[in-house]
Amino acid sequence: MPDPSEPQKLTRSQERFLEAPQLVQEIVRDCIKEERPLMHMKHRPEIHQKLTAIVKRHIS
Amino acid sequence: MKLICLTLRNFRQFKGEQELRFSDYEDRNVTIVHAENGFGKSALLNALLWCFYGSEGLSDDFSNKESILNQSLAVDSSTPDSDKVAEVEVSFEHDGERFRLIRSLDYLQEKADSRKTKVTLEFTKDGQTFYERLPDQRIRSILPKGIVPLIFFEGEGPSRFALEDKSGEVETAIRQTLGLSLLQQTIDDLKHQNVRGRLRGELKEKANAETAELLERLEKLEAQVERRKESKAQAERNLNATNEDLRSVDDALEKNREVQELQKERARNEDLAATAVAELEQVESELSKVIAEDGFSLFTEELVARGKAIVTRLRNENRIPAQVLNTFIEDLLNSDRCICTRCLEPGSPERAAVERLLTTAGDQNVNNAVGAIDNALGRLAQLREETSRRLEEKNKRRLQLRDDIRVYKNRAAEIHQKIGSKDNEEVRALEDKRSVLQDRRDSLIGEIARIAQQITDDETDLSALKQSIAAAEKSEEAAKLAQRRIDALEQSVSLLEDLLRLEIEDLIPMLNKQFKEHFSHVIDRDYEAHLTDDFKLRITQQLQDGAPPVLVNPSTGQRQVASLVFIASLVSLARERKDIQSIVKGLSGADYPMVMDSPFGQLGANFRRGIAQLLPFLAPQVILFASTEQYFGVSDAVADELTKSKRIGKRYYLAYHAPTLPKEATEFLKIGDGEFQQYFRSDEMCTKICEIK
Repeated sequence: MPDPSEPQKLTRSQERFLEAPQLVQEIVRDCIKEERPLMHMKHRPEIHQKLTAIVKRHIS
Repeated sequence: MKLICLTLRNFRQFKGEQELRFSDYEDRNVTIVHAENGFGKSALLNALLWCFYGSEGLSDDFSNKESILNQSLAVDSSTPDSDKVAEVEVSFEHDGERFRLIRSLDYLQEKADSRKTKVTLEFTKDGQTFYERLPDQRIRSILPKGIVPLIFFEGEGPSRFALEDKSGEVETAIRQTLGLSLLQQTIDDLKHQNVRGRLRGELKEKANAETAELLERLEKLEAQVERRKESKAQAERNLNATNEDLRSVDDALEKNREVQELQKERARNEDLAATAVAELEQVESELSKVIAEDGFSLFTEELVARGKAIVTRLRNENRIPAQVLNTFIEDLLNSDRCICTRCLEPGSPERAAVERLLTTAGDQNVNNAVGAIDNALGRLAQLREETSRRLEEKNKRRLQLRDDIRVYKNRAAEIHQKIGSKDNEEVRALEDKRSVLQDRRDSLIGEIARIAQQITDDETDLSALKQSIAAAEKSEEAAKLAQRRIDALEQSVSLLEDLLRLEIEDLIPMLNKQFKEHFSHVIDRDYEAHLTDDFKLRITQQLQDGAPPVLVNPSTGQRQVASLVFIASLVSLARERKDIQSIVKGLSGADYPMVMDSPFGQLGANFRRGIAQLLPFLAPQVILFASTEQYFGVSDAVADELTKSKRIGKRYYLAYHAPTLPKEATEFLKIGDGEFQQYFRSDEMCTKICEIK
C-alpha cells in the first residue's frame, strides 16, 4: 500500500492524460462517467445520445 | 469487494434460514466450509451466483436450475403457497459502502417462470440507507459478469485458461479485472455510427462538396475496416475450433496403442517447432531493430579510416595539439612585453620575431574539436564492430532456428507417413482428418495475417483521409463548429486508445512477473510459466543449461496450477492497482474475493501445498469449499499449509440429513482433536450449515 504522505509517481497513462488538452480531458472524463454504471449491461439505452451530447456541450 | 455474510432461506436443500458469515479480517482472510461430495457445496456456490446474477449466473453443471425453492417446502400442503419463498441474501462491502443484496423467488413464480426473480439492493453510505433503483445494473458494475469464472469456480474449471486457444478468455479476464474494459467500451461507443457517424453527418450537411466527398470516402473505408475486423475475428474463432478438433484427434491417436509412441514423438517435435518459430520471430524482430538503429555504422569504415588518417597526420606534423596557442602570443603582443621581460615595441625586431610565431601557433577550439572528432571516430569504429558482431550472432541463430524448424517439421512429416501407412483403418481415418485440419489451420493462420495487413493498410489510408478532411476549407460557421466537434471526438478517441495501450503495456509485465514468480514457487524449478504478448499462458521447460527453454504440452495438473496461479496473481494485481490513484474515476482495479469449490482436483501433494501457501497471501479474501479428500487428502497437504499460514478466520461444515449416506462420505468429520457428526439419517433430505468455533 503506498504511503499516503508521499506524493505518488504518475503512471504513464496518467501523464498522457494530463498532456492532453483540457477540453479533451473533460470530454473523456464525462464520457467515462456516463459509461461506468452501464458498461456491464447488455442493454445500454441512450448511451450514444449521451456521448454525442457531451461532445456538443463541450464544443458549442 | 469483501463478502460479509450469506443467508439462505429455503434455497434448495437448505431448509429454513441458515447463515454463513465469512471471515473479513485481513490477516485471517480464509473461510473454510468442509463438506463431503453431495452434501451441498455446489449449492452454496450457486446460492452466491444466483443472488448476484439470478438464474443466468448458475453454473453450467448445476442440475435442475429451475428448482430453486426447497423441495419439501414446495410440496408441503400445510404451508400456503404465498409463504413458500426461496431467498438468498448476501451482505458485502465495496468501495467503502456496505451493501445488502436480496434475491427471492416464490412458489407460484417458480412454477410460471423461475428466471423472473425479485431483487433488492440496499446500501449504506455515511450512516444512511438507500435503495438502488436498478439493482442488477449496479451489481454488474461492482462485479462484472466477465470476471465470474475467475472468482467463483468449481473443480478443474479454471484449467482451461492454460489452453492455447483460450487467450480470448485470458484477455477478457485481464481487461475486466483491471478495469480496462471501461476504456474499450468508451472507445467503441465514441466510434459508433450513432456518435461519430452522427457528428460527421452534421458536418456533411454543412460542409462544401469537396469535404462531403472526403467524408463519404471515410465512411466507406471505416465500414470496410469494420468488415475486415469481423472477418478476422471469425477466422480466429474458426482457428480456435480447428485447434480444438486437432487436439481431439491427437488425444484419440495418443490413446491408440499402435501409434501412441509415434504420436507422442510427433507432438514433441511439433512443440519444439512451435517454440523455435516463436524464437525465430523474436530474433528476426531484434535483427530488424539492430539494422534500423545501428545499421548505418556498417558503412562508416572508409569514413572512419579517412578521419583517423587526417588526425594522425595533424599529430605527426605537431599541429595537434598546438605547441603554442595563438591567444598566448596575442596576449604578449597586446602587453608589449615578452615573458623574458624584453620590450615588444612596434617595429622592433623582438616584436617581429614574436609576430612570426602567430603563423605556427594553434587554436584551442581547433584542439578541442579535433579531440572530439577523434573520440567520435573511435566510438563509431567500436559501434561498427559491435553491430557487426550482433548481426552475425543473430543471423547465425536465425539460420540455426530455420534448420531446427526444418528438422522438426521433417520428423513430424515422417511420422505422418508412418502413421498413415498403418493397416488400422481407425488410425488412418484419424490421420486423414488430422491432415485436413492442419491444412485448414494453416490456411486460417494465413488468412488472419492477410486480413491484419489489410487492416493496417486501411488504417493508414484512414489517417490520411482524416487529415485531409480536417485541412479542407470550411466557409460556413456551422461547418467549422461541426469540424471542431469531430476533431474533439477524434482526439478523445485517440487519448483513450493511448491510455488503454499504455495501461496494458505497463500492467502486463507486472502481471507476468507475479505469474512467473508464483508459478516457480509451486512447480519444479525446471519449469517456467509466462503470459505471452497475445495472452496465452505458456509453460516451458529448461532441458539443458544455456539452451533455449522448450515449450511444454502441459499435463492437466500443470494447467490447473498455471491457471490458479494466474487467477491469484491477477486478483493480487487488481488489489494493488486499487491503491493507485486514478485520474479518471473508474479506471482502476478492485479487490475481489476468491470463492472456490474443490479447486485442487487431482493435484499431487507438492502442487496442493504450493497453491495452499500462495492463495491466502495473494487474494484479499479466500472462501474454500472442500471435501475431506480435498482438504485432508494427499498427506494433509492443504490442511497443513493453511494451518501453518494461521490465516483461517472461520470454519464451517455442512451437516447432511438424508435417508442414505452418499458413497465415500463418512458420518463424522475429524478436524484436529474435534469430531463432528456431519451425517444424520433422516427421511427428509436437507443440509444445515454448522460453525466450528
